[in-house]
Amino acid sequence: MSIKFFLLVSRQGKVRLAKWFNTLSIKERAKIIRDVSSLVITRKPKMCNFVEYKGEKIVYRRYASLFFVCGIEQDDNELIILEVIHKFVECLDKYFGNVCELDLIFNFEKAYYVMEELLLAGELQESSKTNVLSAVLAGDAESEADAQQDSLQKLVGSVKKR
Amino acid sequence: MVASNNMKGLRAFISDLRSLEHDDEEKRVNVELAKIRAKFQSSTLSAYDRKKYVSKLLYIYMLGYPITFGHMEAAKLLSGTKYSEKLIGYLAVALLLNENHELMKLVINSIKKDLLSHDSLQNSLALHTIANIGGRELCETVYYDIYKLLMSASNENIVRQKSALALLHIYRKFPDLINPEWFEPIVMILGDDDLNVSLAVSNFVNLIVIREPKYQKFAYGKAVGKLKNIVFEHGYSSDYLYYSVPCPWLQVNLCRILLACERPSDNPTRATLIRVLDRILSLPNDNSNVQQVNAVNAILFEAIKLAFLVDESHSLYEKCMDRLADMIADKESNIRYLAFETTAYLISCGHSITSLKHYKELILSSLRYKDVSLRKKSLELLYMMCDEENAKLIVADLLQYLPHLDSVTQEDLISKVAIISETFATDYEWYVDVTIQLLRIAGKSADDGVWHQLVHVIVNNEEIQEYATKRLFSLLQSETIHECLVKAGGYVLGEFGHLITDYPDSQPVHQFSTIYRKLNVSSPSTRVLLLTTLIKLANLQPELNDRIAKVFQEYSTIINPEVQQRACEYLQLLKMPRDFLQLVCDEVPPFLDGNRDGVHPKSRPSSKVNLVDTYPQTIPNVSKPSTPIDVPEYDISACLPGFYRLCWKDKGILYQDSQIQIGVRSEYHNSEGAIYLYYENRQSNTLKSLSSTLIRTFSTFHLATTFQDTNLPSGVQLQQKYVMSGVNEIFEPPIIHVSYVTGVIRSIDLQLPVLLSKFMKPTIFDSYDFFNHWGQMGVEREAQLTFGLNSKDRKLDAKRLTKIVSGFHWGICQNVDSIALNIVGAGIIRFGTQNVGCLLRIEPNYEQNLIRLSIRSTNTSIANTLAKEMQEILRNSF
Repeated sequence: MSIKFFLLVSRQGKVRLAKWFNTLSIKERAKIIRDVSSLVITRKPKMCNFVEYKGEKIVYRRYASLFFVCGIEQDDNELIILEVIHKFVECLDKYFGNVCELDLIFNFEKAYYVMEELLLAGELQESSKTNVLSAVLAGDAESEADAQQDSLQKLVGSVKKR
Repeated sequence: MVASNNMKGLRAFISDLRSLEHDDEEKRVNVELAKIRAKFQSSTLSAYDRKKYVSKLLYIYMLGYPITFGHMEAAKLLSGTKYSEKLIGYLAVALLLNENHELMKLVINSIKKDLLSHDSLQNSLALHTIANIGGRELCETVYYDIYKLLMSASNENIVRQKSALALLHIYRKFPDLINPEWFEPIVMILGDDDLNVSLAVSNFVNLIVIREPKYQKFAYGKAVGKLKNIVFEHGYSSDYLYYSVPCPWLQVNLCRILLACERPSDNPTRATLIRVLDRILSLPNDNSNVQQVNAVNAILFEAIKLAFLVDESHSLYEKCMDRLADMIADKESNIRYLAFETTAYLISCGHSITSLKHYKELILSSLRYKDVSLRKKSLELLYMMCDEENAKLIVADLLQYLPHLDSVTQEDLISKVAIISETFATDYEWYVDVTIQLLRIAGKSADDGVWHQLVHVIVNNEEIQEYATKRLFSLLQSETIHECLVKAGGYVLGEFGHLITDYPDSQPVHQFSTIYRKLNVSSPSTRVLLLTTLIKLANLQPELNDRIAKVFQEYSTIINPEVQQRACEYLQLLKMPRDFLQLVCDEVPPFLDGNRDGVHPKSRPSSKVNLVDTYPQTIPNVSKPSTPIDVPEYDISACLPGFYRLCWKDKGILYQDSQIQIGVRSEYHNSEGAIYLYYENRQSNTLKSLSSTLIRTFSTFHLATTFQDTNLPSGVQLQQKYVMSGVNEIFEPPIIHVSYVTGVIRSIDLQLPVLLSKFMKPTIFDSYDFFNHWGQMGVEREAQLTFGLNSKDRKLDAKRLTKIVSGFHWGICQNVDSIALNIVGAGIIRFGTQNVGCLLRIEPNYEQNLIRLSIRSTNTSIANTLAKEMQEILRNSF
């Protein structure tokens, strides 16, 4: 099984996150985003979460104002991908604390990093509850240390100027 | 909890953009891009600012604007010393670059350095990039280091699991980099104590067992052991419970590995697996939590497929049926969708699911759902459920639903009903009735192939012609029918109208007036066909000639050129002597592919008549015109890999799927040959009604012996022999059409590896003699082709190339060409009564993976044919 792409799209069709697990030209990617967005945004809540698209399959789920959309092969296991989507949402929720669309907009690089810790080469790499967050928080701690060092250097610089 | 984003400028920028309308947003973006570009040209740019500006570029990129600069800054961040810089740098490289970008070369060393670092965070960043956008050069640089990271038990598990997936990326794209000796140690890791490492590796093992069947047995044992460990021995901590389901992703992957493997021969492993599956199939799933339900069902669907594959005694059959029945009736549309899909899959594998046929009504009702996905799956399942007993009932039900469906689903349903009605027709009246009903209800949605096939079946089956003509004529007399029925009726009436002239209201004059009325209200393409109907009618019913001539006169001044031309020509035909008209309008012969076992919805019965020269003095010399027949294109794609291999090997597998295997063995002695086909059943059920028909051949190719029994029990092999008694014409490789019944009818077209070059007697020349002959034949008799390989990832191999050339029956002449890499060959073909000399020169370019092929022969057609044959095979053999 292999996820080909993972998109977060708003109800207005705006992309909040796009992750591609294979090599495609920018034009091809734009077309997929356009097609897939219009495909899932128009579906009703009671319809199933799987749609066929160009001989492959789209698995999607809506959370509040965002659609989480995966492209997979025709014979992959749709339900387990649906739970990959849910797991990603859970990680974002724990990381941001009641995650909303604005969190993803203003911290988009963090959202990408959470995804990197969850999916690699289109496959789920983490199935335990805590490891994804541990890895992301470790990265944050490292970044925080960098930031403190930056602040310290700024302070030293300003002292020298006096 | 969230570390705040320290880049205030970035947050302010994002806030600005969010408050703007699109046009203003674009202006703001362009202003910012200009500012960033200027900053990047400054030599005093700090690392902090670089990080901030690259982040802004990424956000702009996400909004959909093209990014044409800043890639170098991303590369610098990636190479930085601080983690926060690397984080943004790696993200930017992943988003803005792809594996073919020229800047990737600059960052390869940095990635390798991070990969070898003792900091697991840096290892992770490097592995992420390799797994996501690793190109050839990057992968060649790091593949061995990644393998060592995976295999070293002292590394953190988080690094090992990422290494496994990075290595999987490499195996997918550049399999030649992966040492086959690594496969067994990798499979061994399936049993790792850390379930994340097992999960990562399970994705890799899945691909290994597909590509390297010899590791299947080993992987099978490991996968069963791990599955047992999870299901029975609770070999997991509570950390790995997902809504009370232990590691569902790993369980699904393990089942999929087992599904990809051959059924094991050792019974203890199989018994263990059956126990495990029994436990899985017994899991309660009445929970109200949707996550738990989904996770359990994800495993269940794989387990059900696996149970059918492995459980020969059917001890799990009842449980599987019960679970499927529950899921088909589930209120949740996701579950129902997948239950339909899984059931259709099981039927297509030849399994019997008799007890589920009670749910036909429920499945039918899904055709009315608004959800297009569910409609499609229910239709597919009903199609698969058809058999001899229930086909008529299901078709009747589908026809009832047809008027209420959207046009896309209508199209799908029509093509499926057309196939069902042809496949399961026990009498042609039913087939004709069903097809006519399809076209009446939804003619607008029907592909032309449907009415073409109807005509095809009628023409090829004499017993149905009168009935069909009567029915179609009756429809033609009604006011409103779709044009495709007018066309079908017009064609059939033209051919077989004479069969119904004795019935009241179907006399020739009624036939004429009915056609004439339709003619006036039809589209040009239908008019063209109806004019042809009239000329045929004139032939059979001479008393109508005057009236028909008037119609042709009327239409000879119509504006549409197609219609006008037909009318003018047909008018002239009517003035010809009667026997000439008879010659032209003779009844069309049966279509060549009338075999009932074949389903060709795209068949196109021809309604054209060859029109000959109208000058009277040529009458005595006119030969009987043949009616052109559009032979449908064969679909031989399934056997091409086997075909290509067998064109230069004497024996091997031509075609193989989960149900049947067809092997080939060839023998050639100079100008004569024999080819043996071996049919083997690969599943536990008997294949019934096995047939193999030659549908493309040449004059000296004959069936020598074949099997008598059309039933093929499991594990049994049937043999067929064809002989080639020389060659006297240029020919295409023969094609056979194989069909059999396994729940549903299946059929495949297979191309046999018989080429002109196979009739060559290898000949050896020394340098002097070779070039003497080469010069004598001359460049004007040369066929020369230059070509590359079909797959860009493949490479020319000298040893393989020589083997292939020998397999074509060329004699390899040594030390002839001054360039040692070139291959020189010679041979003689007995073509009819002549011996035709053939010479070959191959100039391979191993750097560019190109081949220049030159063949000279005393017969230019043979040189051309040999060259084309070799090009086709060579491009697909590396």
